[in-house]
Amino acid sequence: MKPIRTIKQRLLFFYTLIMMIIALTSIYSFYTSLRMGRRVELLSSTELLMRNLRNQLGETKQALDQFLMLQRRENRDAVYERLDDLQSLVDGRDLAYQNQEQLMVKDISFLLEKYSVQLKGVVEAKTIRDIVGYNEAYKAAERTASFIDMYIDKVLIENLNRRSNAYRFFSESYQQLQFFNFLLILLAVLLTVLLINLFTDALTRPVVHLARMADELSRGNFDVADVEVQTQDEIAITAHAFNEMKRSLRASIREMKEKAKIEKNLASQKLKNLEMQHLLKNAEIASLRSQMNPHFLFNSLNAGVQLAILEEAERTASFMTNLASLFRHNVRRLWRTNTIADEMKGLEFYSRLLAVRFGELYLLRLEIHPQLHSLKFPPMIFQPLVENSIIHGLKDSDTGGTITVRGLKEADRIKFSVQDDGSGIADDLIEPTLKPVHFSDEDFSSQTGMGMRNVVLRLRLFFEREDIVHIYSKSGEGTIIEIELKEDEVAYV
Amino acid sequence: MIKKRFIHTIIVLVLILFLVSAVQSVRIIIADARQGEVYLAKSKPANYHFMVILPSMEDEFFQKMWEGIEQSAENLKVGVELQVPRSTMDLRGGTAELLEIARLSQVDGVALYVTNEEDLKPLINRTVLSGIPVITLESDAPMSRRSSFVGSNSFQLGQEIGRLMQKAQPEGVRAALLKSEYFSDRASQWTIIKYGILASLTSGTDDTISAELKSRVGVLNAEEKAKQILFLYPEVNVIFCTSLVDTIVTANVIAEFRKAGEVKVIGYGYDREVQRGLDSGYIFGTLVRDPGAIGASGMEALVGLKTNKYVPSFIYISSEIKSADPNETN
Repeated sequence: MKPIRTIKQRLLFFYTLIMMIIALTSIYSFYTSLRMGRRVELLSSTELLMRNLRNQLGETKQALDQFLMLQRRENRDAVYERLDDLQSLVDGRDLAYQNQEQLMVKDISFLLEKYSVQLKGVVEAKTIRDIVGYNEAYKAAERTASFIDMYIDKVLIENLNRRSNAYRFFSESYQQLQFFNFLLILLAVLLTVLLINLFTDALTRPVVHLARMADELSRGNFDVADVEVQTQDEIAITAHAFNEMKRSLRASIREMKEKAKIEKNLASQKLKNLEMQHLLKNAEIASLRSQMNPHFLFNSLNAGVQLAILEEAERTASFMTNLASLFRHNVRRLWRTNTIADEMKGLEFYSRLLAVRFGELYLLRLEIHPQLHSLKFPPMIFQPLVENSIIHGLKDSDTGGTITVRGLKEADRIKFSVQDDGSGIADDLIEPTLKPVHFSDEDFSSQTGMGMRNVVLRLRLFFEREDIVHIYSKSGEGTIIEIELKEDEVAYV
Repeated sequence: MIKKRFIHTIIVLVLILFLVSAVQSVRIIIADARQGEVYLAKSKPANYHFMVILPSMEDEFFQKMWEGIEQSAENLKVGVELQVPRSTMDLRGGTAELLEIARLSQVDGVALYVTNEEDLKPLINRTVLSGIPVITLESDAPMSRRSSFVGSNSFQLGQEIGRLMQKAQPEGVRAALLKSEYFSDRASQWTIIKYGILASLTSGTDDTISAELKSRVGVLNAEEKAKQILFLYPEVNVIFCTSLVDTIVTANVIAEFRKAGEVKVIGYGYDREVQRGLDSGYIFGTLVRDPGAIGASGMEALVGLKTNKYVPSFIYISSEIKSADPNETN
């Protein structure tokens, strides 16, 4: 059997089924009532026949008496007519039945035939004025009529008995039938109500579920479960479309969120780029300024060196030579990629300057792993830090101090540090030093430790991470400024 | 889910109830249709239409005979019309009238219980001559043109009764015969029975039968006749009744007048009351015929006659003697 698919087909099937149940029950009930009616009619038919027969007999007798009295032709015709009517009332005389009543009716039909013959004899005898024959025939006809009358009574009694028994039997039977018919109607109604409930539930449940899910969806909950519909109808198609729509919406929303996140990152990046551009601009300005200054400064320093040589001031000559070398190195680094090796070279120039200026008061030690020499690194990072150590950490020490610049590789981490054994930094100064600020901040330049801030900010911008610099300091024991990089953040030349 | 399952269960239950009710209703209709045929005169067509004329339907004997006739008719697929003479007429006139009707109605055969052979003989002959076979049941009209007789062998019946009388009164039988009105004064059957009785008695002379009374149908008349015998014929020591009602009523009269030791009752027919009379000794013995078998054989004889089969002139149905003495019972 082909499965019922559409709602229309299902509804048609349900309605037809329900109509069938009700219709069949009603038809059955109607049939039983009709049957009872027909039975009553059947039971009464014999009685009606007998009563009719008796009336006809009376009318025939009257017609005969009229003829005998008046002897007119029309009276004779009336007698014959009545006799024909009488005989036509009862038929089936040639067929016997196993039933008393029917057998007696059959007898009556024969008796009627005999009666008819006898009456015709009476009429003929009267017509030819055969008085003896007429009397005999009349008596014989009267006797036959009495037999018929007796049989009519017997048939009526038999019929009455039969009807009494029949009514008793049919009444009991009909009462039972009525009870079951009532029960059938009651059950049919109950069944119909239950089926309607079931069908309605089957039809509306997926719709209600769908509506609930749609409501959830409208509230922004895209994680609701798929709507499951077992049927193959339009609701199933709608549910499928709803599930698809939900998935599509969920994917779109996710995409939008990701896009927003990317845009946010992009904006952040843009801001950083702006800052970088600002920094570069400043640097460019500084560079442009310094394009003039180095020439003047180098010329001046070279003039100073020559003057120091002429005056035989060798230390001054050496100092100025180193200073000029350091400037040249630093200026040159601005225009190309800087590495740790460049930083180390700068520190070497700076170390020579320190040696000329302070003799052996300050010792600068470079302990950077050779593998790290080719690592790309922002310029002028270590020198300001070393400078800070001397200016702030060791300035008050009469015996000088040691500054160690280290570079180590530990697992996936690369650590650079500048350590001094000076007076240390007060705790309340560490946090402001590391506080994330931008070059655009108004108080950037006004704050103390601008060199340090510059270093921190440039490192953050270069490696795009905030927690890149750590400061460990203990009063009287010195300070360690640590730059911690991840392996995947760095690049090598 | 639970609600859905609950509704499913209810639907299944209601559906089962609905189907059971429908089946039950249809069963009633089928049963009704089968049994209703009888009431709706929708009986099957019959091969022949016979008329049975019995003197009364109040007597159990004729009721049982009719039962046998009906049963046999159904088996033989013939229609049987039962006719009893009008109560407003005497038996003779009523039976004659019915025989005439049977002839006029051109039935296929007549079976009758002859109440008066002399009066009915010409009518029987006329009926037979009009082409309708006639048989007699239990009570015969041997001198008529009837085709066959179905019933007890009257002489043998008389002998059985005589032997029972002899047993009841070995010293000498002084019998009174309480004859039912169904037995005509001149019916040959009754005469033959009497011959049989006298032939079986050791002192079988005519004065052995002290009285011969005729009882009409009904309890009162039987009681009256029984008392008459007791008081008008004190020499009577055996009363032979020819109907069930007469037998029971006579036994009650004997008991009432404490004559059980002196007067023995020999009855006709058998039922629970008769058995009680036998057990208590108020009835010495009874002649039990099989009216159902007589009726059934009568129908077979009529069908045989209509189908041109050989049908004997006398078809005897054996009788049985029931007695208080178990040795007497055959």
